[in-house]
Amino acid sequence: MNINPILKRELKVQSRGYTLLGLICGIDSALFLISVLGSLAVISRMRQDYHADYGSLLMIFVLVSMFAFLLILLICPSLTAGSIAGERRSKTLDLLLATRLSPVSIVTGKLLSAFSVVQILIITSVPALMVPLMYGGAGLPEILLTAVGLSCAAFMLLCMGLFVSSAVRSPQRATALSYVLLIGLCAGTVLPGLLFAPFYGGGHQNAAALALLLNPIVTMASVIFRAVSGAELIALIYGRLGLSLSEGMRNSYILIALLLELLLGFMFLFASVVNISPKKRKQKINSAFAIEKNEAPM
Amino acid sequence: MIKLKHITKFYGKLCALSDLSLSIDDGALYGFVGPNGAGKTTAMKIMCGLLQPDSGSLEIDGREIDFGDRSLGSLIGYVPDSFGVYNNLKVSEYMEFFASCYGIDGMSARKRCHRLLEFVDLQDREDFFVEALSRGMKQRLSLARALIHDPGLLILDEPSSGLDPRTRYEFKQLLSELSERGKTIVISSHILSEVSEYCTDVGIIDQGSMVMSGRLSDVMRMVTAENPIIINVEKGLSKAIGLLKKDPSVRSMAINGSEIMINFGGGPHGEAELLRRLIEEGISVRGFAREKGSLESTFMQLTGHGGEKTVYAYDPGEEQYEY
Repeated sequence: MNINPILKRELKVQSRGYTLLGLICGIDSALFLISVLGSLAVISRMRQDYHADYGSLLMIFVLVSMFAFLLILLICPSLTAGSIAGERRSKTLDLLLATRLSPVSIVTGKLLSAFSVVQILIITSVPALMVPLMYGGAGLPEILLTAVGLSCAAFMLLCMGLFVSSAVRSPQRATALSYVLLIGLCAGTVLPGLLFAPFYGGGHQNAAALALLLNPIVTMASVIFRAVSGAELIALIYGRLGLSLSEGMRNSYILIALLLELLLGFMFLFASVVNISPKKRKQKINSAFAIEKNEAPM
Repeated sequence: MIKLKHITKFYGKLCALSDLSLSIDDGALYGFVGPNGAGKTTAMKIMCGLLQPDSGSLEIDGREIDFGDRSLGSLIGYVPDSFGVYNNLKVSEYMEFFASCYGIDGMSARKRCHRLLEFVDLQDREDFFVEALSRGMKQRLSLARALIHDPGLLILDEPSSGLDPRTRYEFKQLLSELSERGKTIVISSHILSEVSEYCTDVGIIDQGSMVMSGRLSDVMRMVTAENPIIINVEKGLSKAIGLLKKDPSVRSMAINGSEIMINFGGGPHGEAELLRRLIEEGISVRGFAREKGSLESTFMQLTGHGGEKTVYAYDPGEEQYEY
């Protein structure tokens, strides 16, 4: 089987240092600490009052899941933001493009290497998520749903970082811009709903919900909320705002949100390929030329 | 054979290449010469398929190349003006990585890498990290990397810049050896003496246009015809100066001791006539010849700095006449 050369090289370099190992150990230790200490606290209280508090155990699951998600939110953009910009800065992008590798292979190689790191993080954090399971907290399907939610968010964020990296020359600027874009995506999709909620009526309510579909924090919170309560967070949020959602939207909200995350990720990926493709400039300039050519015979 | 036909390339409103055409024969060692910003790198990137021109076409071995065609990468080995190396890889890993980019894997890749590292004299550095290599070694590694898929055409953008004279000499030897093996090599350089030393063909580019291209010997012959005539006078110097001042074909004149250098526009027949008149006037002429052409003087003339070198080659305190 032919492995993408970029992926192979990136994995080789990553495995050489201790950075990745340190990162995984640090994150997993933090997650385990929260999970184990929380569980011990709940159990010691159970011993005192002979009352099994499953709600507290579920809260531990919520806490660990959200903590893992926040870490992914922080790590992902930086994992890919410097990738293509770094190749460009070290003048190796031209070398890669001069080989038989296509821009698609370069971009997917970069994405897969970063995604594999995030997948290791997600998989190794699953045992920490499963600690409350031992005492009757969240079940296996909920944990799997959470892992899928984390993976979809990670995919979208990595693709976003890759897109910025393909458009910007400096890796530092690409990293900063990725975080700005992330903040914009998180805040920009919530603010319209909150600010204009009092003015919504009828079909406009669904438009505000559609904006929230693109918000990775709301999506992940919805996934976790469904996992622990079986209810829809989005319906709760809209209920608080005095708005209502259609039944179809409420039932398929998480599925649509996750699919949209993947779609957005693929769109970022496509834009990255276009950005590094040598054909990009030609198309822009040719369209300008076409106008001149059409006018010339006149 | 590689052919660029009527290539035009704009960066926004800036015209980097304007109707550039050139043809490079198989096995040629083509020196691409031009001042900074003339469009050499742009032309080379177009040859490699890294940039798409706004108009014009690229032909390799009679086949027109589509710029999106990835097979172009198999035909060309490219060494950019910067080294383009991954410092966190070992030399052998670096080579094997690029081999895999061309679909060469496993033992065949390892063997080929080893053979090429031997060719560039880096076989004892295989397990070194690239960052530990010197500038010259990195450049040799870049050359080995460009040869990994055994391309017929090598494109090298300013490969000698920043190298010490010894490394430059060694690099030149490598290129000559590759040329003898039948590789077509296109090389851009600012070190004109080097280009004139080992290139078989030369192209001079200025402001995005090709101002001269052809066999180096033909270019030099053409330029020599425009060079000043140096007349070495043994007796009758003042008489000779008086005669030359009256000749309408003599455009300028500089005198250094018994040597008179004239810018003469009279053609080959006029030259013979002038020499005959000097002798008839009883002037003892020891030497009468056109200054030998050099790529530097050609370059200066063609890129709009003509005459500077020939005038300042003489002592500043000399007697000089300008018409």
